[in-house]
Amino acid sequence: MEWLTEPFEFAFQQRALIGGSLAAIALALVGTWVVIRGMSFLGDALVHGVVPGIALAILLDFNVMIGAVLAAVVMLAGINLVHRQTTFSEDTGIGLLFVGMLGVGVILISRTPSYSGSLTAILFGDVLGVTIGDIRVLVLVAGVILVVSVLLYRHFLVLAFNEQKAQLFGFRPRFAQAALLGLITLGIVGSFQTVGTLLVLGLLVGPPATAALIVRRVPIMMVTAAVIGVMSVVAGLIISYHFDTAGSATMAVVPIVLFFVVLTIKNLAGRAGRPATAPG
Amino acid sequence: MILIIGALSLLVLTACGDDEIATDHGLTVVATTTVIGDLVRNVVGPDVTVEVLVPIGADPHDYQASSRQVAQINRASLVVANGLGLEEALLDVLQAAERDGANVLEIAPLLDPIPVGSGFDPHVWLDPGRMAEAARVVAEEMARIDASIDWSSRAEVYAIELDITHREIESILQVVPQDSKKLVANHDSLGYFAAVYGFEIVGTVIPGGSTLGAPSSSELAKLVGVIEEEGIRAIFAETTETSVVAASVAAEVSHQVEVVDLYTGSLGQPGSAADTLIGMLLTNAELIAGALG
Repeated sequence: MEWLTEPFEFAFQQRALIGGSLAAIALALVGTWVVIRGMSFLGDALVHGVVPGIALAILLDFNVMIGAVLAAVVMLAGINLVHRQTTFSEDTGIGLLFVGMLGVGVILISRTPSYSGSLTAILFGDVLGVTIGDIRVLVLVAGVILVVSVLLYRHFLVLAFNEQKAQLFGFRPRFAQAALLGLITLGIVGSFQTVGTLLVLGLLVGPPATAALIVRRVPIMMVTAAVIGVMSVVAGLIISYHFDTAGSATMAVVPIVLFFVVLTIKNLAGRAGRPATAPG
Repeated sequence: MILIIGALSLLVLTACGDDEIATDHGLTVVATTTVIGDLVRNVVGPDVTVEVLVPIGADPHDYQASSRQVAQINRASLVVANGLGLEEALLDVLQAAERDGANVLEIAPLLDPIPVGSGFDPHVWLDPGRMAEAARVVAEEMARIDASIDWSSRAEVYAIELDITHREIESILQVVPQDSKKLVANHDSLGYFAAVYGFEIVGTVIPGGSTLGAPSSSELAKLVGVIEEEGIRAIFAETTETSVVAASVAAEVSHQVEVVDLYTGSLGQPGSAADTLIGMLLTNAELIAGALG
């Protein structure tokens, strides 16, 4: 028991636990839609695509959150343009913008003349360095995502499972699509700067995918994903403490390992039945 | 709900936390880099446990700590960091620890750092004189923590050793003719060495202060031109970084150019000649003298 409690004696671990858990909850809510609608690649691209916006914000000295959101808007507009004006599938547009934005980011970073401000430290946060201020931001982000997810739940559901019929039902699929992209962007931008890029990606896709293996209904999937996400943060912090492994990275790896454990158990248990598939 | 459970368990955990730290009587100093670790060991001697965060051979610019190490930072009597942005990926963690009451001493800002761009060059440890001063700074801080031990005498002894090392380096470098005292470095890490021993840095492979930048092809082409023009015979790469770009620059130059790995970001493996700060400085001097002499 002490083995489990000892790591949390420290204030930084407690802040990491709270910050990581808030990020896990926010990302579980949007990540469920990401997994159901097959948007993982877009999520990955967004995490890296906001880098030039943040770099620019630091170089020109304006709020990094605004920089990140600007970069995300540019990126989504670009992806949308490719999708509408060509016959390519959506992942081509995502791939183009992903590389383009990340490349611009590295160009900007390479132009920073000195160590002042330490761009990389601001770009990629570390969950072990989460501050009270970061936690306030995460509370706000998780709160907004929770409220909008509940309010627009029916829109997102129709969009996910029958986009064609959405129009007939009187839903506005484009509005729902834009709102969902906005939420995903908010979840990513709001948390990756404080908890680190790797952890955001791990929490965005890992817990919802694992949840989708065991439950079917979307709200239950979200709750399960949030629980798995929080558990991953707790387990990651304990492992990082006892086995001396890099904090954010360990927390990111836990939900992925968990996914394969659950998949294996499910396959062994249901060998007589049908193989596991993600819903949707 | 999850948050409530989390908050409750936190209360329980913090309530039963403190005894273990109280039983820990010995002093502990955490050093961020292997170089600072060696410096601190020379000042504190066997009375203090010294823990080093960044492992041997790793790049201090992008090293991320484990939770165990952040706990060490918070528990330590003193944390000695280089500062000036060297420990880029540890910055978050060090700042948070400082706010939590950890005693963090950043040595580089106190050692008359050389300005670079809008900030300062953090690679102070390649100047033995500045490191002798750093030893005194650490001793002063240790005296504030525990006045019962004579830290400053140990620091003075180490400062004398570093002064002897400085003279040895000067004599090693005597074989380098004055017009060959030109350096091309992998990243902007040799500024102090150049300033102290009268070298000129004519080019760097990686732009910007950090090892995380990437060069443009025009910068590399310009570098090749400079190397050819100045008749430079070696590019000094680093043991903590791959030297593929440095090697391709060397291959591009019309005359023979050697790529020499210097110990810049980290000490060498235990048992190697560069496994202490003094050994590292002497090894580097010999490598530079060998390549340019």
